[in-house]
Amino acid sequence: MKPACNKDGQAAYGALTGRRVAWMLGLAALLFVVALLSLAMGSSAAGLRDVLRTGLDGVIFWELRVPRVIMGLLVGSGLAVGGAATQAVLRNPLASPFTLGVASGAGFGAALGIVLAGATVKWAVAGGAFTFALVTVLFILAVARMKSATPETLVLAGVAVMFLFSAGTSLLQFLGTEQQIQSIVFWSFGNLTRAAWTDILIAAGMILPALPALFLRAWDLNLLLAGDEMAASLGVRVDRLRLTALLLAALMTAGAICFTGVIGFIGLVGPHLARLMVGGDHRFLLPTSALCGALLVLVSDSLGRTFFAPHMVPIGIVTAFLGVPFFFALLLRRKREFW
Amino acid sequence: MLKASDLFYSYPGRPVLQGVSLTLSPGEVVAVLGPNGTGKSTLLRCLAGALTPQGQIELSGRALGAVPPVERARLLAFVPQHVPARLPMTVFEAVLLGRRPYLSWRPRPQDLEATWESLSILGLAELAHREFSEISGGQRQKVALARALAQNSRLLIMDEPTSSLDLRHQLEVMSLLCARAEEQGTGVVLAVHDLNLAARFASRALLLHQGRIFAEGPPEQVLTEDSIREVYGVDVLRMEAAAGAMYFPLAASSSPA
Amino acid sequence: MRHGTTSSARQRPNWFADPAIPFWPACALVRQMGRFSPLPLVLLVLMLLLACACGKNEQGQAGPVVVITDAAGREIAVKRNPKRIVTLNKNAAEILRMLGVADRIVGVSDWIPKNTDYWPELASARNVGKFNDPDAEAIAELKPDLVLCYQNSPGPGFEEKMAAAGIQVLRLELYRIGALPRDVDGLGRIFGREDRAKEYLDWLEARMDDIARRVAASPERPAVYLEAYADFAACGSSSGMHERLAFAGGLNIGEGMHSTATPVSPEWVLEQQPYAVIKMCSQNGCYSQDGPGGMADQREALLARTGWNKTPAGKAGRVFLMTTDVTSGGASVVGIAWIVKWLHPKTSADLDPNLWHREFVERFQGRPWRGVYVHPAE
Repeated sequence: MKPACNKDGQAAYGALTGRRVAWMLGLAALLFVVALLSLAMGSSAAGLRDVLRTGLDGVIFWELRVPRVIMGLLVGSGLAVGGAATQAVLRNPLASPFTLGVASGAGFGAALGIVLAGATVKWAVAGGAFTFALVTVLFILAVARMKSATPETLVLAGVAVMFLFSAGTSLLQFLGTEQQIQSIVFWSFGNLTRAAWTDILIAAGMILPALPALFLRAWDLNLLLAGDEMAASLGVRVDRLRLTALLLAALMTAGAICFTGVIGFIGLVGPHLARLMVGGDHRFLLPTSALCGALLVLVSDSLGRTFFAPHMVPIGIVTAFLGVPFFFALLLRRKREFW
Repeated sequence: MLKASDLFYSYPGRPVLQGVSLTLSPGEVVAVLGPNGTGKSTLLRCLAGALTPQGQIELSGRALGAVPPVERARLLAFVPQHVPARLPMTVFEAVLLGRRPYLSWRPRPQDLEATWESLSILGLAELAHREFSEISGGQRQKVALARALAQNSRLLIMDEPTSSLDLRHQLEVMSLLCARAEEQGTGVVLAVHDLNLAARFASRALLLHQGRIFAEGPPEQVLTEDSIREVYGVDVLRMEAAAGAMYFPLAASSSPA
Repeated sequence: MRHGTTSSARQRPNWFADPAIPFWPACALVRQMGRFSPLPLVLLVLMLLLACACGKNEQGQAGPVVVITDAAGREIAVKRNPKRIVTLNKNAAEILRMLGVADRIVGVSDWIPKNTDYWPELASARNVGKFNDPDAEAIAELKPDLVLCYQNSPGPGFEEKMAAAGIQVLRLELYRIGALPRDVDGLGRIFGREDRAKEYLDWLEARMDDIARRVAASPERPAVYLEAYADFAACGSSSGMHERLAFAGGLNIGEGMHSTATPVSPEWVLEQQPYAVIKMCSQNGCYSQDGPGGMADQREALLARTGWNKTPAGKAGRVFLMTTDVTSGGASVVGIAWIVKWLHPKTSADLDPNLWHREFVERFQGRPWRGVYVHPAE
C-alpha cells in the first residue's frame, strides 16, 4: 500500500507544480502580448511599424513609448514583489510597503524637493523621494530593534509614519506657492511618462538585482508564514531575514516611485492575484507577483492613456479605481481568510 | 545527547526559570509537567534554541548557540504550542516545509517521500492536497507534528502536542512517538498537561514547580499524590492499572500550591 | 500651422460684447449701425448716451452706497469712499494705487510683502495671511470698511464671517481681461475717482483695439500648446490663458478639455505639432529681477524635451514663458500683447509690449519701470 500511496502523493504534487508553472508561463505570454499592445497604443498615430523609422513617429516610439512600457514593467514587478515580500515578513495579507509608510515618505521627499529646489530640478525631486522612502523603512526597522520586532509593532509603526509624512506634505503644500502646490499634487498622481532612459537605468539598477535576492529566499519566506518560532527551529535566521526582505522591498518600492510618483495598490493587489493562481509557495508566488504587477501597471497605463484622450488619467488614479473593487471582491469572497 | 545546566530565564520583570538542569539521552521520552506558568514552555523554548537563557546547553557535545541554525534544524525539531491558523498552502506543502534543512530549491524525491511518510504515519494522507486553512484544529496540530517528523531529527521537542487531539489520536500520537524513540533512538521531550498520558508513555518525568525541578525520574516515582497536591494544589486518587498509573482528580485542595 | 476660420468682416475683439459690461454693446451696435443710416441712428445714439449718463448720474448722486456688480454677477451695495481697506487681491491693490487711494490700504495678503520693491507704500500695511486662507481675526482687528478678494478665494463662508464683524466683502475678478472694465469702473465709482478709472479704461480700450487690429490683419490662427505650472499640465478651455490666447488670435490645442490644468501625455503634444508653446512660469519678484533668472533654465529644459525639436515650436525656438505679473490684473493687456507679438510677428513688428508695460507702471502705478516678466523678451 505504501509505495503506491507514495507514488500517488508525489504524482499529485508534481501535477500541482506543473499547473503552477503553466500559470506562470501563461501569464508571461499574456504580459508579452500586453506589452506589444501597449507599444502599439497611444495618443498619437505611431505604432509598431515605427520601430525602424527615425522621423517623429520613430522618436515617439523609441523615446516615449518604449521607455514608458519598460518603466511600467519594472515598476509593476518591483512594487508587486515588494508587496509580496512585505506580506510574508509581516504575516499580514494587507501589508505592503505603502502600508509601512514608504509612499507617504516618498511623497514628502518629493514635495520637499519641489519646494526647496523647484519642480524642474529632477534629481532633487527624485532624490528627495528616494531618500525619504528609505528613511521611512529605516526608521521603522530601528523602532523594531528597540522594541520586540513583532509584525504588529511594525505595522503600527508604519501607520504612524504614514500619518506623520502625510501631515508633513500637507504642511509643505500649505506653505508653498500655487505653482509648488500644483507640482506636488501632479507628482503624487503617479505618471510613467516622466521616465527618461537614464531614469530607467537607475530604477533597473535598484529593482533588478533585488528580485533574485528575494527569489532565492523563497523557502525561508515560506517558513516565516508558519510563525517565527517554527521558522527559527527550521533553521531560518528570522530577524535577519525580516530586515533583509524589508530593506529589499523598500529599495524596490523607493526605486520605482521616486521616478514615477505614487502608484498605489499594485503591491497589494498583485500578490493577491498571484496567490489565487499559484498559491502561497513563494518560489512561484514571487515571480507570479512580478508578472501580475507588471500586467496591472501596463493595463492601467494603457487605459489611462486612451480612455479619455487627450486627457491622460494618471496611472495612480486608474490603479486606485481598479484596486478598490478588487479589495471588496476579496473581502466578500472568502470571508474569514485572506490567504 | 542534550545536556542543559543551570538554566535561568526571566521575561521582563518576571523571573521564570530558576536553575533547571536536565540531561536527555537517545531513545528517551521525557515528559515535562507542571501547572500553568511554571516555565514548561520557557524551558522547551530554551532547549530548542528559541530563547537564550543564562546557563549552558549542549547539543551532542557542542554549545547550542554555536551550532549554525540549519545544522541545528537537522538535529532538533521543535513543535511550538500554537500552530498558525492560516497558511496559504496545502497540507502537503505545509509538511514539506519541515524538509527545509535539506532543501536547496527543488524538493528531491527523498524530501517528497519523507513528507509523504510523515503524513501517512499520522493518518493525514487523505488530507494531503486540501488547503491548510480548511482542516480542523486537531488536524492542524497533527500537521505540525508531521512537519516535525519529516524533519528527521535526532531530537523532538514538543510543547503540548496533543492538546487539540481527540482521545484516540492522543493515544496514537503518543504511541507513535514512543515507537520512534525506540526504533530510531530519537530523543523526545514534551510538555503535557495530561498526567495519565505522561504516566503511560513517558520513560522519564520532570515535574516543575515555580521555575525549579521539584522531582525527576520515572513517572510513577515523580507523580505521587503528595507531589501532585503540592505542585498542582489538587487532591488526586492514584490507582494502578495494567497500562500504568491512573490519576483521578478529586478536588482542589485547601492548601495553596 | 493650423488655420482657423476667419470672418470676412472686420473682427471686433470679443470683449466688447461682454454682457457684464452693460452699456458697451449699445455703443458697439450703434457704431455698426451707423454705417447704414445716419440720422435716426444719431438720435438713437443721443438717447442712449443720455440714458447712460442719467443712469450714471443717478447712481453717482444716489447717496452713501454705490451699487456695483461683483464677480458672481450679484449686485452689491458698497459703502461709498471707504477709508480703510484690506485687499487680498493683488490686482485690486494695483487698481487702488492707480486710483490714488493706495494709502488707505491697511491690510494685504502675503504676496505684497514678498514684493516690497514694487510696493514700498504698503510696507506698513499688515500682512493678514494667504489670499485664499487669511487670518480673519487679523482682518477684523484692522477694522476695515471694505475687504477686496478674488471670486473663488477665500472659499464660501468668508462673507458671513466678515459680516459678523460688520465688515463688507467685495469679490472681484480682475484677473480675467473680460472683467476688467466692469471691475475697474466699479472701483472708480466706489472711490469717486471715475476720472482716473476712465483714463485707465480709455488707455486699455485703445490698446485692445490695437491688438484687435493686428490680430484681424493677420490671417493665421496658430496652434499653441499652453502649459500650466506643472510639467505636461495643459490649460483647458476654462483657464485664463485660454481666454488670453483667444484674444491674441491663437488656437489652444487643449480647448477640447474643460479643466484649468489637466495632465496630458507627451505623445499627444508632439502629435499636435504646436506652432508655439507658452508656459506659465513660477518666477517671483519679477520687478526686482535684472535678467530672466530661472526662466532661462526652464526654457532650456522645455526645449530639451523628447521630440520637441521635431515640432514647429521647438525647431523655431518659439517656446515662451510668462509670469502672472503680465497676465492678470491691470497689466494683462501687456501679456496679450506679448502673445500677439509671438504669434503674429508680421503684423506686430512695431508692437512693443515693454513700452505698454512701462506706461502702465509709470503712468498708472507711479513706479519706475524695471524687471523681466517674460522670456525670451525680444
